Amino acid sequence: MDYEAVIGLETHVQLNTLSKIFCSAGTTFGEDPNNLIDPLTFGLPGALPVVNKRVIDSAILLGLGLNCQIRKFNRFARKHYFYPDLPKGYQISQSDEPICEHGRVTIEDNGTSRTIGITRIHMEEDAGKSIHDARTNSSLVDLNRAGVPLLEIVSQPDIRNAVEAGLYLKVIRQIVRWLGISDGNMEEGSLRCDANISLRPVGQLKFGTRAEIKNINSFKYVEKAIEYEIARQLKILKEGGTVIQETRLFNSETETTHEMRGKEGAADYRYFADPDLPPVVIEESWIQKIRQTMPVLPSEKKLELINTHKLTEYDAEVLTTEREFSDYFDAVFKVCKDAKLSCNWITSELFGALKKLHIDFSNNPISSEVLGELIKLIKEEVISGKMAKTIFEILIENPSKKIQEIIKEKGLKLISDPEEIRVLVNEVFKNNADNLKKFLDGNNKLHGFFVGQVLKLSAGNAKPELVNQIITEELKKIK
Amino acid sequence: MTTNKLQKNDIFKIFKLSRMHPEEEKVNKLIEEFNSILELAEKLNEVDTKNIDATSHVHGATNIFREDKRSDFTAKEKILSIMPENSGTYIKVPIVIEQE
Repeated sequence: MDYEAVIGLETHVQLNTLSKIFCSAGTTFGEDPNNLIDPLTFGLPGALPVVNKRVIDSAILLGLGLNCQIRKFNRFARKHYFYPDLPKGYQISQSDEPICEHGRVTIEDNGTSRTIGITRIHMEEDAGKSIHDARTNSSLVDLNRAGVPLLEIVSQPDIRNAVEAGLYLKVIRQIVRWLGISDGNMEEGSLRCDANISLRPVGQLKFGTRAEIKNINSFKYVEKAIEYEIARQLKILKEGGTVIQETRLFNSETETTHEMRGKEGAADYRYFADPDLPPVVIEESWIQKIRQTMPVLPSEKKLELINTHKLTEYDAEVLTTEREFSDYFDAVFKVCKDAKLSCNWITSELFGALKKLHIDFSNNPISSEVLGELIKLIKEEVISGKMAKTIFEILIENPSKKIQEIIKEKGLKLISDPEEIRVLVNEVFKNNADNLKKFLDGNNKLHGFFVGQVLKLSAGNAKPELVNQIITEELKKIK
Repeated sequence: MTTNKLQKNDIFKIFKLSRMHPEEEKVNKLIEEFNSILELAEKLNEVDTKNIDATSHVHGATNIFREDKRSDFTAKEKILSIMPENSGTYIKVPIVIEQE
């Protein structure tokens, strides 16, 4: 019997707010343990939560970005569980009233696209971190992360294999970064994911029993964990066994999943509406206001680059991996009005140079105005592409220098006056009488030699096409 | 009307979830006390609430927000000092995962 996998992902996105979701403690990653705590973190008597408005704005923005419906009447709920990383005894989350529902997102794989449904997005607070030390039989708790805002995105079980799961996660990361609501940094835990995986005979509609894989913290591991889990369940089913519904942990060293131990039965979270937090009512006017701030999404931007700017699919893909690339491209294009040249200069010269110098794009020293101006000079034939590269290399080291200054200093001026070039051509002919004779006798290969000599004589400043043309003209005259 | 009396295993489950270890005689007393509370709550079931929404908030306020500004709590050390045990600025607790 053939089986197919049914996969749904739960993705936790940490928002990049300055303060926590229900109190004004900071959210910076990597601070000293327990530096970002306050009475609310511990549920101390009298401490009351107050919602950070930017969390609601971010949730609405993501909801719109993932084509969701936004709930008008929202309540927060307490989810009870007992664990030291959450000293107040419950996590403030949303239960059956998530802020966003019924969305979808498109993933693309080698030209074919598929739609993955989004069941819901809800807001909640993150928990703290514990370091376990078996030697001393103790755990060390750091509550800096407790209360940092999270959006949990739950996908429909529409994903069919590990590659699709990886693509889905990449699109989610791209969108949250594009919208500017999270840095999507998986290494620092700003983006985390759990996967629900089950198998069913091909053609069967009913889902099989699923296992939930937790603790996945990289794109590579998402695929590895799912691949392993599919193989594990397939083996059980092929041998006539049954898959048990359970939570499993992914071990990145062995690239396998194992049963999570010490998990208390089927958890009973005793959800109820948090009486400390008044309901959040989102009127249409609020949604409209957020919609107006929404940038063109990467998928639409990509189509625009292909259709309006006639860029290749590949180039469009590269320029839309990050919003800052796409914004930079728009700004360069605005100055030089040449999409293809803008794209080439950004993706090869600029990206190449930044990579070589280990500079992050966010610290890119070349402003869009300067690059646009440089490309404009190539287009207007004031300088050659080769000269532009020389100027660019100087600029990246000395960003405060002016292009015109460099042109003057280096004597970079394209000779595009035919008469000026004609003088150079005749001088080269005079100095190379032997070769000229051979050439006239029919050695056509020497054409290239003369072009090279003229360019050399002009110190690389003569326009090559013009040199070519004038050599041909002058030869005709001699013949 | 059914009465949802609390059984002994319910209590043990709650204790297990709370990582507490009850004494047998105390459990019996707890069950007795708690069941009388439940009986009182049962009385509420006599009221017909078919068309009434569940009440979660009584004051009627909505949309109470704060702006996204960081301000550090000044008495962090005081909070940490009331923890049963510390290690540096970490809070030290009995190990919470079962050992492999």
